[in-house]
Amino acid sequence: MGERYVSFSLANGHFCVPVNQVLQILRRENLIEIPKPPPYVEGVINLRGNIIPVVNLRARLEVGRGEKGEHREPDPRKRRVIITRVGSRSYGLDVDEVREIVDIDESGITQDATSLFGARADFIRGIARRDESLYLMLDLPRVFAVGRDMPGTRAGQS
Amino acid sequence: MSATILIADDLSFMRMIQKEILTERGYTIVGEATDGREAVEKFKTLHPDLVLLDITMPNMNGLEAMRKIFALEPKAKVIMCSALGQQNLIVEAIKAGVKDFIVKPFKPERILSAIEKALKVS
Amino acid sequence: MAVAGIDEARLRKAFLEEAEELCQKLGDSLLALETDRGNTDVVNEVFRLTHSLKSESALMGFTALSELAHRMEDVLGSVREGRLVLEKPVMDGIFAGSDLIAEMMAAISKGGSDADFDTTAILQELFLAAGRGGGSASETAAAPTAGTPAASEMELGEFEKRQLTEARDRGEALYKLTVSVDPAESMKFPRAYLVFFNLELVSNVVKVVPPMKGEPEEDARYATTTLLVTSAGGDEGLRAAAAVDQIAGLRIDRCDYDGYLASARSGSAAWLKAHPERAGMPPGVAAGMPPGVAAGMPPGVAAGAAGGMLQAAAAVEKTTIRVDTRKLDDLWSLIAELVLHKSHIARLSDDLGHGADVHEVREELVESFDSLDKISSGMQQVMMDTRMIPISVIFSKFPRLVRDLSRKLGKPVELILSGEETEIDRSLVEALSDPLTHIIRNSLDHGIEFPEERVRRGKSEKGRVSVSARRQGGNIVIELADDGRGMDSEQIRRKAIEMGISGAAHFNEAQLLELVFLPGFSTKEVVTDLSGRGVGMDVVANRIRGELKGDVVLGTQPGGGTRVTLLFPLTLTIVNALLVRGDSQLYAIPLTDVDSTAKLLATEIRGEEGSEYSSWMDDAIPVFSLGALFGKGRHKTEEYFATVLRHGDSKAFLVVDELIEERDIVIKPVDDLLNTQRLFSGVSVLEDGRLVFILDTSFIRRERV
Repeated sequence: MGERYVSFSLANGHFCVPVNQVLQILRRENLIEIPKPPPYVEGVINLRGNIIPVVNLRARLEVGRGEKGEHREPDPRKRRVIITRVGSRSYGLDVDEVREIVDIDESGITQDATSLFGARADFIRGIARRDESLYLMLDLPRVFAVGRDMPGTRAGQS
Repeated sequence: MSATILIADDLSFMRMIQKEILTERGYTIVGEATDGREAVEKFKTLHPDLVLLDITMPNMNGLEAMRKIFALEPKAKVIMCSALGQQNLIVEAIKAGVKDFIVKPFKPERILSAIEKALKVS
Repeated sequence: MAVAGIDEARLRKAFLEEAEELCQKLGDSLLALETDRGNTDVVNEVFRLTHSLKSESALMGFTALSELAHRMEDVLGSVREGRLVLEKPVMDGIFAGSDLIAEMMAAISKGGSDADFDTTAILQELFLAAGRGGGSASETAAAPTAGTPAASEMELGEFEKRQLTEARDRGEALYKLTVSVDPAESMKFPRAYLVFFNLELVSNVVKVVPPMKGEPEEDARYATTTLLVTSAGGDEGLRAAAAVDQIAGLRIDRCDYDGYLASARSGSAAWLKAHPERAGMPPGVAAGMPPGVAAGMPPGVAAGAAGGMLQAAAAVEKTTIRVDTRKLDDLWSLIAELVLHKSHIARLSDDLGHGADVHEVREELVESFDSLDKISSGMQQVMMDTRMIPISVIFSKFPRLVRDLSRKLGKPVELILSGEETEIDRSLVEALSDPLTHIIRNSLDHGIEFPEERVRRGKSEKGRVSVSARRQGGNIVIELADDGRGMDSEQIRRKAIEMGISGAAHFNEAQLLELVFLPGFSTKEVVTDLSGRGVGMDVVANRIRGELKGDVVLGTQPGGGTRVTLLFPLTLTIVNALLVRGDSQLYAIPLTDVDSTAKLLATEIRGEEGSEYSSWMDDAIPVFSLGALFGKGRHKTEEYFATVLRHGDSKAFLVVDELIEERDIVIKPVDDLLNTQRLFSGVSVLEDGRLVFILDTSFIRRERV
């Protein structure tokens, strides 16, 4: 019995989130900037009257570090914001490109904690293999728990 | 002796379930109607012993249909199917003479016992 | 799963076929509705579709889907009946609901279930959109704990007594029927009504308790219904009439006419003799106080006379509310005025068409507009008032609580309540109840000392806890104080340093006391040293600062006692605010927090960057600026626009780039993610889509730098 995921790319990496946590996918033009944004917040999106914070995934996952020079600029026309819902709260994810819906089988997931693509391991639930691609499965509740990180577990220390 | 019943509900899924439950108990379903108008028509031509009427139907709701049926036959036996929160409609139906009402979603025992009781009264 | 005896697979297939089609149609209809909101046909169609989806999914056991469809159906129902207008928030809610339903259907069609979906947010949104007040919804109000109705209501009026005498003269027998509806039956009133209706056909129904008027009533009250009837036909006929499905219990008692015919005064004795089980009733209830009287009654009397009644009233208030009819009268006058002005404006427009002088018409228009403004404020006020209930609904629990606790702990304590008549919004009652109870418990558990210790310290043996409420501008202020041990801020400092909280060495008292609200500080281990005073204060702070958008402050005197002050806005959603601009971002400050506006000269600002101050009415108050808080710093000019903010007793200047206007704004909650500095109490979106952040002025007390 497989589960479906929405996959997307971010700074050379492939990630995915469960389909039932995805509310909507919007173009990035809808992003509104806010003054002195808190860490990891890219801006907000006004979705039918609800002000939804959009998380800067690059910063949050800390991808793209140490890849200076090889860094491929994302095609701005392909950038999207994926509106996800975790529990009763909705957040947006700023991604480079939304790819496709994939079926991932339980058997294809490894809980290997080593990070790929330079992403912070504690935000990754597991790694799924499908065909020839590897997808990092995001642990959304963790990703969104900004401000509740325990002091002392900053990047590079885990 | 198996009583004849007319089922009126705009949802085919609902009609299917009601039909299954009732036929298994031995009742004869003489007809099905998908809206109030059809229910009244079929009542006129088929003369069922009892009518199962859903309140919310297009082209004449259950309440209207029921009133028309009672106008044709004051002693008609009608059981109204309603959803939670339709109190005022049910009260209207009671005032008009409905024998019993069932709240959706219903358990099979409920609908059967209601029909049984309604048919028992002469 | 749902229906025994039918092939599961066939059932599911049939369900899916129809439900998916309904879903599809729903989506299409909604799109049509969006562009043509007045179209009653489409509204009815959408109502019918959500209704059908609700029924079908409920039958299949998909409760989440059913509940969602049900909620949407309610909203549409209100629209159909003209009680709700299809404005943006409502449409948005319905669309969101429809989207979610589609997702659920997709999951179900792939063999999954609707249980994986979290519907709390959308249910809440729809509930609010339907105009119901806050709080989680349960459509059927929980039945009040006393299952039997106040049976003293069986007291008969003159007319009823006359009916009895006439029946007796006709030779009819008197019966009392007690009918109980099956607890599993969801529609109790209609069941009871059915019995009543049937009985009316075969007997003479004299009285029904609870009363029945032929209109649907509050359902839970009819779990048990008592009817007084007379009949010449013996109880066979009565039994047959009451033999309605889903009636769990029926009791028929043959009664004596005398018991009911005696006059009110002396009748009580005879009545009590006939109903010995009622003998223990408190005087107020037995005197036959009609239920409707509670509305409009001074709170003290209502609370005292029928202890449990207010609780019952609070439980009922989820679906219906009791309103002082004077408020309805006020509303009516306002509406009358509104109609007058409407005609006036229509006439003016006519005049213009016939070539009247534009300037004259304009003047009259301005006058009309002013009146309309006043009328709409008036209406808003009346509506707010109907939502307001005295805080005594919460306070009334405290005397009992204090008495029980003080007995249990062996600490005699006196409780002083004041300001119980202060009115708060109904929706806040639930949210406030727990924190207040908790603080009082804390006071007794940890604050008040044992009598021996108190005497030793030269205090009165009896401890004192006082709870007061008052209104302050657009806020409610609640103060809970005890004269117990108090807290030692130096000890807090020591703990803080131990816990590694940076800068604790230099914190002032206010900052140290603020630490008590940290989750880390509220733990048992820390708190035993602090005499447990801070237990659970983090939860209280969360509730007040988060949910209620207010603030909580601690004040203490070691050995003297502790005072907790809660402050929160009267109403959450619409606020009259001052709109200001900082760089390109708009901010709003609730007018209740604005003391005034001013111009500050650069020369009037003293102090160093980060801790500047200036003088205002003989006081030196801090100077903040939007630039420094949210931008790159205050840009230097010679003079600045500023507002004077106030929060509690504190005041401060806030330098802005532009003072725009005063207006009403609708507050939406702001996510924690956007509010890490806790500077915002909410966010709003203007008609043109611009974002406005609503400032939480409590920062003027908390923050420096």
